[in-house]
Amino acid sequence: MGSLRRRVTVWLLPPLVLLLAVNAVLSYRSALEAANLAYDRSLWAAIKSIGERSFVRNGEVVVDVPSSALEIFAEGAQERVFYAVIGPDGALLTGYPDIPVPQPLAADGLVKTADAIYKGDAVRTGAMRKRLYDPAVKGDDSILVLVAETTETRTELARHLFFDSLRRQLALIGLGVVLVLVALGTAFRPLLRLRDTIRNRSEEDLTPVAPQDVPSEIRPLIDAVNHHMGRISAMLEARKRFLADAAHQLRTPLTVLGTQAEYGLRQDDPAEMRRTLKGIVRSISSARRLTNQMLALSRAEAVNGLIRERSRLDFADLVREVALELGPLALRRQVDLAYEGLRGGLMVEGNDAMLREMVANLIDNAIRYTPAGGQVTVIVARESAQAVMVIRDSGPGIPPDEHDKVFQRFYRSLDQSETEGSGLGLAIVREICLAHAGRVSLDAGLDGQGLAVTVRLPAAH
Amino acid sequence: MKSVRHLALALCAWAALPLAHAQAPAGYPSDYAALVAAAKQEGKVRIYAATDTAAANPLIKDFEALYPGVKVEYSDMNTTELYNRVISEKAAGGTSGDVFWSSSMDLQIKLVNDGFALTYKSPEASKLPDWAVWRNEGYGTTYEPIVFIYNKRLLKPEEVPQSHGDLAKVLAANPERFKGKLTSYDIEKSGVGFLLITQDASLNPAFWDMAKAIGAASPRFQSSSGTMMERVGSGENLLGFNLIGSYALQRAKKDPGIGVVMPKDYTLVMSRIMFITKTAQNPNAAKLWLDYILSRRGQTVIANQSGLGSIRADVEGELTAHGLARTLGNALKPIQVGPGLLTYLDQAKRLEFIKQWQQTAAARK
Repeated sequence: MGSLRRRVTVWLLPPLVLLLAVNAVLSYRSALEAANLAYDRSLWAAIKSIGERSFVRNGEVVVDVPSSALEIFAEGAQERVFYAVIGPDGALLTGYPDIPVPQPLAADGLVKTADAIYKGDAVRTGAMRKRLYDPAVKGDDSILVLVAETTETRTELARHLFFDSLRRQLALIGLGVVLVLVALGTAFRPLLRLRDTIRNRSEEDLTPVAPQDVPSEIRPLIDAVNHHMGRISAMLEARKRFLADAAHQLRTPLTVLGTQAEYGLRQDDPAEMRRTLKGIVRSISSARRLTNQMLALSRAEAVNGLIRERSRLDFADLVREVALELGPLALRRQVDLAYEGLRGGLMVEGNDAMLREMVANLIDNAIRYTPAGGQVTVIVARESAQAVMVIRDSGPGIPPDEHDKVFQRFYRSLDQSETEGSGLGLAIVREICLAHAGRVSLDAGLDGQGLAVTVRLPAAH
Repeated sequence: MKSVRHLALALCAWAALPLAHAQAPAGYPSDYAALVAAAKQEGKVRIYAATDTAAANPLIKDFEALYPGVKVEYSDMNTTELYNRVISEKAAGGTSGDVFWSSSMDLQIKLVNDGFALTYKSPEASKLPDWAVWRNEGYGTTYEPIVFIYNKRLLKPEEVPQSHGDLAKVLAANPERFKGKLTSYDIEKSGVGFLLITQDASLNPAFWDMAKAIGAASPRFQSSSGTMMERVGSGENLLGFNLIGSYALQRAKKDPGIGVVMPKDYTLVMSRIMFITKTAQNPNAAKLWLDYILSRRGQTVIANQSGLGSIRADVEGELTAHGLARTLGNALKPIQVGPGLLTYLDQAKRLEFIKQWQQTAAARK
């Protein structure tokens, strides 16, 4: 990522230098143009005055080069000058031979100028075609007047103009860079102040950063940080509560166990002692179940890495297998457990063990809360891009106003407090479901009786 | 005693210092000593000149005294010869002179314009008038007014023309008296004569009227100024115009029969142009020579020993730009060192002008 200052510099300076280079080329061209425009005038004047003094006498073209034509170049300018007048037949009438003729020539009477090389020197040449309007002259009666001058003065003027503007541009850019640096310094000051504020906080201070001292551009960042901190502090809070709850929950079976053991010790009757031991075994199994559930919950939490081990698996097969495994329990409880729906072919991306845990929890819950003679139906289906599992039972159900609360840890419906259970089952289900980007919801069961739990998971393609 | 010897030593050291630096005069670049050393390495400078050896000798002597070890090889020839020699030597690819120096300003300028000259900014350039330097290649070196001469014994004071207008008037007033008694350059044969008459033509709006008056006097044209001065001195001719002042004034010193007039309406001023050739074999010695000629020391010799007239305003003497400006002021018309001089070298223009001049001014026998 690097420093923001460096990024700004890297993004600002090379384009600026590039712009400067482009501008330099353009300004050199325009300087040259300006110089040519200024100096071409003397070329025009010389050509015109030679043209004016060219005429026909007795059928012969006479050229009387006026002094002024060449003296134009003497005033201040220090250029070498070459001229030529070419007759209608293409022969040199007077002047220097082989001066390059600018092409294409302008209409007769107008001067065309161009850059050229003459005798190895860079020159600016001007040419004008001049008609003589004399029938005595054979062929095309126009002569060609050429004047060329060396270009040192023009180039020097252009260079002077160019360096002048370059100097100014460089100064501007230098000033711009200084301004940008100063502006960057000022712009980053609130950020640095913010950094110091956060650095100086106490370790346990998770309160939001006050957004009013912060430039509006980084307020979204601060909001995100605050939001994240809010989540962290909520999570810390939940952990604390969970720890307290877990301790509390584990104390209850331990107290029961203690009471049972003490009761057993006081008994002399072996039958009574045996009965007490049975009770102790039941309590131990209940405590084991509780700790297993807590372990499962911990594993299901997204922060734990286990849930991320995923594979492609058949959800319908998985649910059917779990239901089969729980068949004996249903039989023991005299609950009619039925599986309806797809036989395989419903693929999802997920963690096999976790999904099994989730399904087992739900079916187990349904069986446990359904009185003898009742029934539990497990349905698996595909709904567009979702794998849907519905588990209905004919148990007592959960009042709608408690639907949200039952997913909380250690929550138990008041009128079901006598039923064995940890109060963690639905919390685990919800955790696993969320980890798989799914949803879990509660509804009334068959014919408005009992409970229907619906789990929706995204199906794999 | 001891301290006296110390003082003597110190004095010797102090005296030696300027000697060591004498070759880089004040105002010259600090590395000028290197140029002098390089020139000495070359050992000589070859000069092609259209200036009498007699006028050049004092300069050569002084230069060789100033830079011992650099010899001057001086070849004197006339202006056309000089021009043709340069062209033919260049065409043959052979060796040529290092410095060209000629009074034929137009031909010199043509050589510079055609790329024969080396660009060299002399440290003395800033001391010259603007019109005398072209492209840092061609340098005007002298200041020579163009004058009338007359025979003092035979011409009455009121007959002596004081201006070009006077000349036309005097001739027209008494055509019989001046018939065959007027002399000037044969412009077909003399390059300088042609240069001067064409300068008259472009400067003087009444030139062709004057030419008519001259023609009416059946003038005698000569190709050298020596003959003209001789004839005026002897009385064979009464009046001569367009003579180079430096020659005329020197002649007048020896020959009391000759009078010199600087025309009051305008006095053309000619300046011998010097340039270093691009192909110079001794370029450093050539630069040294050019700088010397333009220097105050060289110009003082030019004004007082060569009699050619100094172009520098800071040189005192008989014949200097400074001195002439005091008497003639704005009437002085120096011929600009620049491409304007190319005009009358134009083949067509030259023939046309000579034709017209001969029709108007040549002797009617």
